[in-house]
Amino acid sequence: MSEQQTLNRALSLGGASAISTGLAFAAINFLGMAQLLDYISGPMSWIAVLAGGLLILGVRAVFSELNGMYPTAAGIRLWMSQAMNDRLALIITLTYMTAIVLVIAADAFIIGEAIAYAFGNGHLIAIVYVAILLVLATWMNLRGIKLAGVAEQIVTTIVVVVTMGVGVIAIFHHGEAPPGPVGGGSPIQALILGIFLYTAFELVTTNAEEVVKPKIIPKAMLIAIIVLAVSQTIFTVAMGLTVDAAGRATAYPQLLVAQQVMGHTGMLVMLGVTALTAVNTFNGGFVTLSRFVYAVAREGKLPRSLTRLNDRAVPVVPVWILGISSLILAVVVAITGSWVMVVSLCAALEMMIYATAAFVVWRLRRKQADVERPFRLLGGRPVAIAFMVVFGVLALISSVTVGKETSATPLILLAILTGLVTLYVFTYVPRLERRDAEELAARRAARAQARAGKAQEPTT
Amino acid sequence: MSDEKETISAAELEQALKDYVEKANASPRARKTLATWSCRLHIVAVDVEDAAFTYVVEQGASQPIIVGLEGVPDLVVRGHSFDLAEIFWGDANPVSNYMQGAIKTQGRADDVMRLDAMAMFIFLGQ
Repeated sequence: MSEQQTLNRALSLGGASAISTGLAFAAINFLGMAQLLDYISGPMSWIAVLAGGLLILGVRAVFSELNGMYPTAAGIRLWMSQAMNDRLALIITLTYMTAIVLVIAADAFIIGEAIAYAFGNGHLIAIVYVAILLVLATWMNLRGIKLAGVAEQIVTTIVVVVTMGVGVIAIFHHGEAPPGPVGGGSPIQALILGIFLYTAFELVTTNAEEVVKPKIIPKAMLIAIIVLAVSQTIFTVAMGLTVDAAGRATAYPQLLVAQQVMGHTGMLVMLGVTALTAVNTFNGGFVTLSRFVYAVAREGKLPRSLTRLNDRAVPVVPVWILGISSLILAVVVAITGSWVMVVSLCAALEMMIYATAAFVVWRLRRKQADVERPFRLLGGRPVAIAFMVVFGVLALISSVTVGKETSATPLILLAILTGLVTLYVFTYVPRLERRDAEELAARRAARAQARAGKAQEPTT
Repeated sequence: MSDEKETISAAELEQALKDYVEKANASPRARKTLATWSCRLHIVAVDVEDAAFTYVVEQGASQPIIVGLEGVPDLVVRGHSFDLAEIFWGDANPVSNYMQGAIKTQGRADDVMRLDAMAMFIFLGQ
């Protein structure tokens, strides 16, 4: 995007910042904060959140460089395929996309549990709430209803301001602080969860084509990181000062923070905030994933049935698949109570994509040395490789940890998922590609013949 | 997306666009599904001088192609003349070219998707 051009409906810095912040600030973040407090005491928890933010600034630099080179919604797919084998790029991209399904399922579960807690309903009713939420989200998406830019900014502003407000009140009006983590802390685990609180902020790069100035996206990411750092540091400290280990082990610790210091009304306010975070997650998640699946199917890498559109130009099958898979996952999480595992899985997938992005920067610095880079990662290849190693190690640690326990279950689940995707990419995709190549060759041949005939017309 | 692509002249690209507009208006599915879609597109071939066009869709109805760039666009599509022509001939689909980086866009992803949907309705008769 070297030329600057005016666009109707161009995305402003404020809009892009709200998107970046809103995508990162999901309901699951409250569970991330609660888990973080298992490793570090409340008053000191700001260190972990801010340290996570510092590393995330590096991630921002990595994504800024890649986004500057490929300012497109297809960026992640595009820059990966430039840096590595296309099959491998497809495997990583499709595996990474499951993180969005996990977050949608987790958010639905958290809100369902939170509503049930607020109104004194049982566990079964919570599952009903979850089902209603996901059916509603699926229906709205099928109808093509999505949050407009201004509404998105308002929702994100409310979430951030109210979370900070409740956090500040809790910090200044808390009772006796609960004891710190039992059995010693773990700085690495706290750091992973600190990073987790910012994840998905980078998805704003998929809006790169909507801005007229290339600088807007990196600036928006920076603003989002600052806003997330301040608001989540305040709330994490507040949670550490008000909610004990038992409360933090629930699926609604944020409600307990507000309830402790503001009573029932405060709890209902926080319930509203939790619901609003889901509006952003559902809005962004459903749209991003269903459109991405549609695009990959149109590219000829997924079955054609996924390109079917309804009368509102919405890709029907991806939306249904997303709705149903999120519902199944949310119900499984509700029944098994395995939301801690979801945090581990999401963290591992995000660290994996950050490590991959750093690898791509490292690789493209040599492979595409001449390509214009409006933004460059400071320190170049050595720093990129250092990021790759750091996030690779953090991904591995996340995938063998569930809460305070060491467990290989997340790693096994990820291995199964990656295995299935790999099997698909190596067995089915070649057939799709062959079919598409044959069809394209036939169309081109027919076109060449028609053009040749036309060219001869005046002389015959 | 090799460097050895054939160059399509501005006149041939204009004809491809005109044919596309005709087909778009003749497709009941495209008209119905995209009935709420309005978009001003600027289409620019980066390898041919003066190959720039304005294509306006109003409530799903394609307006006659304008030679040159007119008005403030909602979506800008740039690419090699051959990649652009293939899209409007129906040989390649917009999203596939877009995902592979053959064409570059500026504007909302929603508009890119609707442009692709239109191509799909016209050429695949979905």
